[in-house]
Amino acid sequence: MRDDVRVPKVDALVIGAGVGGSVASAYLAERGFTVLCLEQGRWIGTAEYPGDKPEWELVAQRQWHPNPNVRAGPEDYPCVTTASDVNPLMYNAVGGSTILYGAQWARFLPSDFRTRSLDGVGDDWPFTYADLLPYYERQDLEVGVAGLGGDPAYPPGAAPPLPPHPINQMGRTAALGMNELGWHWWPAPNAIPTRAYGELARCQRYGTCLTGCPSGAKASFDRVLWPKALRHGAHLVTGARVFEITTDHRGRASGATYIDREGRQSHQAADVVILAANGVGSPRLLLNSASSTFPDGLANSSGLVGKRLMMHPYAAVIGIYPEDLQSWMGPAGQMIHSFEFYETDESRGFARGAKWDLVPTGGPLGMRAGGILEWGRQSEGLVEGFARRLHETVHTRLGHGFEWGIIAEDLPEESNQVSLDPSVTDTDGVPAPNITYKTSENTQALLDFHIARVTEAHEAAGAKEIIVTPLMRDAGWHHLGTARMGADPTSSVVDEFGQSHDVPNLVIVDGSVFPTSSGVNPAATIAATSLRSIERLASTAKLIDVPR
Amino acid sequence: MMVDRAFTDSSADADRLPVHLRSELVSLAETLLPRFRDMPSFSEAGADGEWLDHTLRVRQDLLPELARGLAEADQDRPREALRHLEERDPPAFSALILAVTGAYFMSPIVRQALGYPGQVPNPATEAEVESYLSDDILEVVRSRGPLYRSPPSVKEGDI
Repeated sequence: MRDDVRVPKVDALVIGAGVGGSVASAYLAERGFTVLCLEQGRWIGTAEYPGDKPEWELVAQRQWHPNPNVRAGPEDYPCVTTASDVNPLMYNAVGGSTILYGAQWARFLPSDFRTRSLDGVGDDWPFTYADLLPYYERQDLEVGVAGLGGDPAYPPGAAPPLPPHPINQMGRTAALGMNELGWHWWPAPNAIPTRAYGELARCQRYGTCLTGCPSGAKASFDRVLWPKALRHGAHLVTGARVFEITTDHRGRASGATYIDREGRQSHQAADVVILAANGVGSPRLLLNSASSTFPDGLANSSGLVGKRLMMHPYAAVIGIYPEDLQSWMGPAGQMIHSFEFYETDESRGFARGAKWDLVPTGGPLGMRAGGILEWGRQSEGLVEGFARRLHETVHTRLGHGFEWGIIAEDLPEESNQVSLDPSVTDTDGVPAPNITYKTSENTQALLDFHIARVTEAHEAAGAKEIIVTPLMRDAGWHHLGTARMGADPTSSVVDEFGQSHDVPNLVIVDGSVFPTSSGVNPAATIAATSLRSIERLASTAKLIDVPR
Repeated sequence: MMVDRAFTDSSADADRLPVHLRSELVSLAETLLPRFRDMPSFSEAGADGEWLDHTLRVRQDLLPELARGLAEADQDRPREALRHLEERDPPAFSALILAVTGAYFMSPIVRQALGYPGQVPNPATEAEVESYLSDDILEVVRSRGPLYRSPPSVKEGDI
């Protein structure tokens, strides 16, 4: 299935083999376009994932950590985060960050597309939930979403194509507490199949989704769309680190220059360039593609490339329960979710809200639960009490705790941004992204409110101990907004179909185009908006002004 | 133009811990984890053998700090050595704790004592899904009706 053969000028050059890049490559190749994708990472084999191996928890904290600064692998590039409250998480590979994502597959809600009209904050999207719904449903079928229809948090629509996962004992315990409070919950949708589906195997509930699925079940996009793309003739070049999108004398994108793993520079020419390098990588590349024609970065006449970075600040509240919940069991993923406090209620003193997701808490090393390195700094004395504290903590917590995660909607602010670092580079000399991100007062108030409510939920469910991480630094999975869409070229980078206002044959298909972040995981919306954009591109391709 | 030297193509050196330092590591581990109630000691769990080797093999990044910390340890006074390490070299101490607990919790003897099977395949049965589809646990939620807001500029049905 792999194809590293270099070809002359192609119809479409795709940069990045993650969600957007795979959607673009598969759709266009299936319709007869010549497509070549450049990906700086490689293929990851299912056998490489550590989730079914005894060392899982140990390597999850290093080689399989989601923070590229911790992994420091050959496919990674450093991110300078000294001015950021949140570390960006990502993975460079065929499939992109879906290699390590949890596959929580959540659509935006209708109000997410109208935050300015409804709540006076952020900006309205140039299309509605209704406009995107057909694409959500098509992508649900593509990835094999498992879930239960009829969630009252959403308008009526087609049910997910696969049956829902069990909510496990931890989900039932949490649900009974939510029912006690009269709060919304629902079996949560996951892009993790409950039966064999296409290239995907049936979920085995390892609970190690965040380090890759050892059973080949989780819908990472190397397995979901790349097989189709390659069958239809798309070319994929791995180990290809793009550092510049090139333009011709008329300012049209003409292709990209990249460095392979032998250090050789090459140029791939194309009629259309499709950028899908995520909300950090895409603005980084655009800024690094500055020229005399585009002195502030490619496609940046608005000055907004890199700005309005949104990162979904995440708080985690773990409840520890007396009963054995076997809370190491997957999917991880999410068992249930709650939208009880998602919509804006002005009486709370902040705008917008958050989705809650219920996730398992892993094994005895329990690094996310924290505490393991804190023993010894207590009055009992380091050595004397170490074994006692270790064993008592593990016995109390292992299998007895689950986490409510809080995905907070942060609002776009131009001061939060991705820029090019003046001194740090990657191993190929490409300037590293410098992340400036500060949580706002609105975000802090939102998180404080939700942490208090989640604590109530745990207590209603019978928790005996509550462990709060008020702002998880290593939780910047979702980097959004840095090449926002809009109708006005002076206040947006691309139009509603991801087409650059400045460079008509440049299309962006990742989370950087989002005007607002919502309070849910963006993968489903990235997949849907990418499909919508690429469908439009394909239907209007002959009209696009391409390099001559 | 500074390159972040952590991001290199070269693999980490596959150095093992020198025998005398490994021996010191085991001694410190046994001091930290003696037998406790029904939980085995570090050596009783077999963590001092293949599981420690496995830990050091999969986490070679710990070796430099371990080697540094263990080289300073007083072999005849393990308790004092641990306190000294924690005060004077926190990164080496953290590496030691991770290596010791990482090896310990991989031991099948420990996992059995904990009732933890490890991350193993556990496919769901239909009955597990039906349990919440057929009882009334969801009815409380359904009965409350819709939760979403419809943007006012859009007609209902055009959401």
